[in-house]
Amino acid sequence: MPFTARELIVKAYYLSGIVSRKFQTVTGDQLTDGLSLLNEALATEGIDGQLIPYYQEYTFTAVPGQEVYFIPGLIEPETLTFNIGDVRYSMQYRQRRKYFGTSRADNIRSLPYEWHIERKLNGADLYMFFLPNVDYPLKLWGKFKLDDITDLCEDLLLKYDRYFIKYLTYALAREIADEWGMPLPTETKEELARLEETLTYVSPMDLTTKKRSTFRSGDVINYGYANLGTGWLP
Amino acid sequence: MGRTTPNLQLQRLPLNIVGSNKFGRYAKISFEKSYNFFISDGWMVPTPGHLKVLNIDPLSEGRGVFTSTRGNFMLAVIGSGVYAIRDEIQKVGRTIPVGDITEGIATLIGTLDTFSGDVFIDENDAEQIAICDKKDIYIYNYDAATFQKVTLDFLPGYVTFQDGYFIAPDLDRNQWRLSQINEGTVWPAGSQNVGELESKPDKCRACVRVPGKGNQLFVMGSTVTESWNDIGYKLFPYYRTNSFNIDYGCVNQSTIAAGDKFVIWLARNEQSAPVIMYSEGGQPRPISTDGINFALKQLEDPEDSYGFIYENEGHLFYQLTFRKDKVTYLYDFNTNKFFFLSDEKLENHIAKKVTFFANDYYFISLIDGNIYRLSSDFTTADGGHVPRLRITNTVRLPDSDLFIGKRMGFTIEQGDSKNLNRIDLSISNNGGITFGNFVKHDIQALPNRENKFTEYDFGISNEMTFQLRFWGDGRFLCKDGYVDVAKKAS
Repeated sequence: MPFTARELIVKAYYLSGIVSRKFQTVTGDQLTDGLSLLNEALATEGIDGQLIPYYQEYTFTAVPGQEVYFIPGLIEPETLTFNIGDVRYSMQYRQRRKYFGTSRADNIRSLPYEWHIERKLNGADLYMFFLPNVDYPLKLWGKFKLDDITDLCEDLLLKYDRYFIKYLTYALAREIADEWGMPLPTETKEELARLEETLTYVSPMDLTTKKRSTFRSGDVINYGYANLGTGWLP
Repeated sequence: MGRTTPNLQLQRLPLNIVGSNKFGRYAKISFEKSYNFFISDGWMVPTPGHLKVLNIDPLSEGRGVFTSTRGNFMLAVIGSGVYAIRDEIQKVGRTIPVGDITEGIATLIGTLDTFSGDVFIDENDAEQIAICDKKDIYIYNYDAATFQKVTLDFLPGYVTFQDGYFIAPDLDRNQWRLSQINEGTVWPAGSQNVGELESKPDKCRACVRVPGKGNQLFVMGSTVTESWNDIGYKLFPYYRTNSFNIDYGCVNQSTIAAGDKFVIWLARNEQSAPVIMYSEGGQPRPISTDGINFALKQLEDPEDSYGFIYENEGHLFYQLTFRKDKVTYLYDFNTNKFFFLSDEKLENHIAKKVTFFANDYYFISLIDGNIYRLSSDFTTADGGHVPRLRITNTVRLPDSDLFIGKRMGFTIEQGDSKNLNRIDLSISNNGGITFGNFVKHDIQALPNRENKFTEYDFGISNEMTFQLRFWGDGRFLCKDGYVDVAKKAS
C-alpha cells in the first residue's frame, strides 16, 4: 500500500496540533505549505547529512588532465577509489590545508592518489591529484541530499523506509509548528527526539581507527607508487 | 537535531455550555444559541416536549383555543368547526390510548363561516363564550347549548371580557365597542358603547385587560396603545388615562399574551421596527435587546406571528413564533433570557396558541387541526426527535493570540436512559460563520452514570466556537464547562 506525500503532510499537521484530526480537514493551502515545509525539512537534513540513513555509490570517469569534478547532491563523501582493470585502488583524503597548501608539481599526469571535497551549491567539487593520466573509472561513496518532493501523490515508500518516513513526519510537524509560532505538543516533541537519537546511529560515519606503522609504507597509493610503479607493485 | 521547541503554556478558559441566545447584531459579536433548552438552577434542561392527544381535523389548521373556567371545558376552533373538549382529555395518552377518539371528548358545537385565520375567544359571567374570527362574533351559550352568529355593524377583532362587557376593536376604524353587559349577542352602537382611540390617527387593533390592575384596559392601535379605566361613567364607562400613553402599537393581535401581572406583545410604531414590549399597566419595557431587535428587523413578515404565555414548573415563558420566517423565540421571565424553540427541521415550533386545562397545557398547532399536550413529561415532539442544540460563546484570549485547543469538557447526566443518546460536537474557527465536521459521542447507557463529557485536540485558532447537537429521545442535563488551551509560553 503506498504512502503518499499527502498522507505524510496531513499526519504531520495532526501531530503538530495545528489541525485537529477529528474536527478539521487539512486544506489545499495547508497541503501546499506542508509540501514546501517538507522540502525545507529534507533540505535541512542535507546540511550535515547526519540523519540521512542512506550511503550511496556515485560512479564517474576521470578525464585525463582534469583536477575538479562536480558531484551533484553530494553532502558527505566517505571513500573514493579508482580502478585499473579489475583492480581497485584507494585514494587518500586530504584536508583543505594539506591539499591546497602544500608544495606540489601541478602538471603531473599520473595515478590520482589524493582527493579533497569542497561543498558547492547543489553538490560538491571533487579535487584529485595527480591529474589523471587516463580515463580511470572512479567510485565515490557518501551521503547525498534527499530529492525534493514535487508531487503530493508520490509514493514515499519507493524512496524511503517506513522508519525514515516516520521521522520525516515528525520533523515536518516541528516545521509546521514553528511556522505557526506554536510549541510542538509534548508527546510529539518527545517522539521526535527519540527518533533523532535513534536515526543518528543508523548510518553513522565510519570512524574506525586505522593504525599506521612507521615501518610500513601503508596500504594506499602514494607519490612513489604513482610515479615509479604506475600502480603496479613488485 | 537537538533543536529546541518553545514551551507550552496551558490556560483554562470558561465555556458556557449553560446559556441562552445572545443575539449578537453580527455573528462575530455573538453567535451563542440554544435550541430547545432553557436554564434551570444553573443547568441546561430540555424544553417541554409534546404529544398529540386529539385528532380532530388533520387537514385543517388550529385557529384558537380557550379554557372556560366557569364551564370547565376547553374550546377549540379547528378549521371552521368549534369544538368543546371535556376534561377526559387528561386521560388521553395516560389511561386512554392516543388515537382517533375525538368522539365523546371533543364535541362539535358550532361552525364558523370562515375556514382559516386567527380566532379570539373569551367568556363572560352569563355562560356565554364570544368567538371572533375578525369578521364576525359568535356566541356560544354552554348553558343553553346555543351557538349563534351576532349581527354587527362593525368589523370586530381581538375580543376580551372586562367588568361584564365583551370588548372588541373595530378593525376598520379608530373605535372599540362594548357589548351589552353580560349579553354578547348585543353590541349597541350608541355613545355609551363606543370608545375611540384618540391620541394618534390609527385604527383599533385590540383591547386587552391588564392583569392585576382591576379595571385597566389597554386599547391598542398599530402605532399607539392607550390606557383606559372602567370607572362606571354613565355616558361611557371607560375613561382614558390622560397622563400617559404607550407610543407603541401592536404588530399582530395574535402576539398579545397576558401573565399574572403584565401584558406582553410584539410592538411597533411608525418610527421603529418590531420590538417585544411588556407592561404592567404603566410605561412599557422592552424585553428585547439590541441583538434581538436587530434579528426582528430582519424578519421578512413579522405580521405572521403568534405569541402566548405558559408556565412550566415555575418558569414563565413567552413563546413567539414567526411562521413565514420559520423561527420561534422563547423568553424565560425567570432568567430573563431568550432561547430558540424548533420543530424537527430546526424551523419554528408548531404551537400556535396554548391553554391550561385540567392541570395540563394544550395547544393548537400551525401545521394541523389536532390538539397537543405540552409537558416536561415528554422529551419528544409527538414521538419525533427534538433537535436540541447549543452553540457556546466564542472562546478567545484577551490579546486575540493564537492558541491550540487541547481539551474541553463539561458535566452531563448520563446513564439515565435506556435510549441511545448521542452528542455531536463541531467547532468553528471563525466565530460561528462556518462549522467543521461533527464528531459523534454516544452517551453512556443505563446504568453507566459517568457524568463527564470530554473531547481533545481542536487545532489552532484565535477563536473557537463549539456546537453541540444532542440526539436522542431521553433528556439531557448539562452544566457549564471549560476549554484548556495552549499557547507559546511568553
